[in-house]
Amino acid sequence: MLAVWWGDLSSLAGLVVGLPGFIITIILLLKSKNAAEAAEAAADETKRGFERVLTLTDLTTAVATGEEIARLQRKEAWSTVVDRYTHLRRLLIGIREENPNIAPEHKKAIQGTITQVILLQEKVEKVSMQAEKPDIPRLNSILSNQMDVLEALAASVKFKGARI
Amino acid sequence: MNDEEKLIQIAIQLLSKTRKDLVNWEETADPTLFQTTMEDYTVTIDKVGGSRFDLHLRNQKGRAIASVQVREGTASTTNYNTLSNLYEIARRQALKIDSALDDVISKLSEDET
Repeated sequence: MLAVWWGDLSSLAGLVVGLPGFIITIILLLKSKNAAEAAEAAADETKRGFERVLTLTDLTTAVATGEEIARLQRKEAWSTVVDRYTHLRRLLIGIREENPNIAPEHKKAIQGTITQVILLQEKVEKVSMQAEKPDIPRLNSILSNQMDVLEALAASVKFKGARI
Repeated sequence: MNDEEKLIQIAIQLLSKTRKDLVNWEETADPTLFQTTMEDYTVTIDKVGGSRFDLHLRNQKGRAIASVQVREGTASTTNYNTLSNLYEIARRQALKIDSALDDVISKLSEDET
């Protein structure tokens, strides 16, 4: 009887002594899990931030290339213009491919601009082969509209941290 | 259904959506070519000469991947009418012809009063 009572008391004492340790272990485990998750989230955010900077840089370069093309078109430097259009198109395709989770409205904007750029390039290729006379104001007007689209996109990435 | 039939189907749907103002058409470098964009694809419609209409489906790189051409007298009348109507409505929307006409009428009416 005494042995049973002593045994129960020992178990209870064991529980009393062991419980705080167990609770502390759980808390530490939860803390380390939260810390790991927080570290992972911070790493993801840093990665996203870095990608945003790269995208922003590419968008800014694309706009600068568009402006350069407009200047070259005014000078009728057609052979150089064709190359610059190729560069611009590749930049835009790159932005799109490097951002697979791009927001639908941004995807649509870039898709529209890529098509506009290829149509501009086709037109300029005909001009450079002297198959057509250039309508420079029209070319620059269409190009300028597309640069506005890219600038708006860059602004939303820069100021709103938009998903692109 | 082959590619041409599917493109005509796309044209019919675009025609209906453009009439409801659910699709946005844009001008391009070519004054007779208009484009509308979805997330991954662009559709362009072009009037070539006086009586031919070309509809192209373009991929993510802007390249034409499927096309249909209809010429008056050679294509089926229904297909010709579909592309001809789509071209006209796309042109009117891209150039904002209706709002320009309404604006001018409104301004002229103001001047009279």
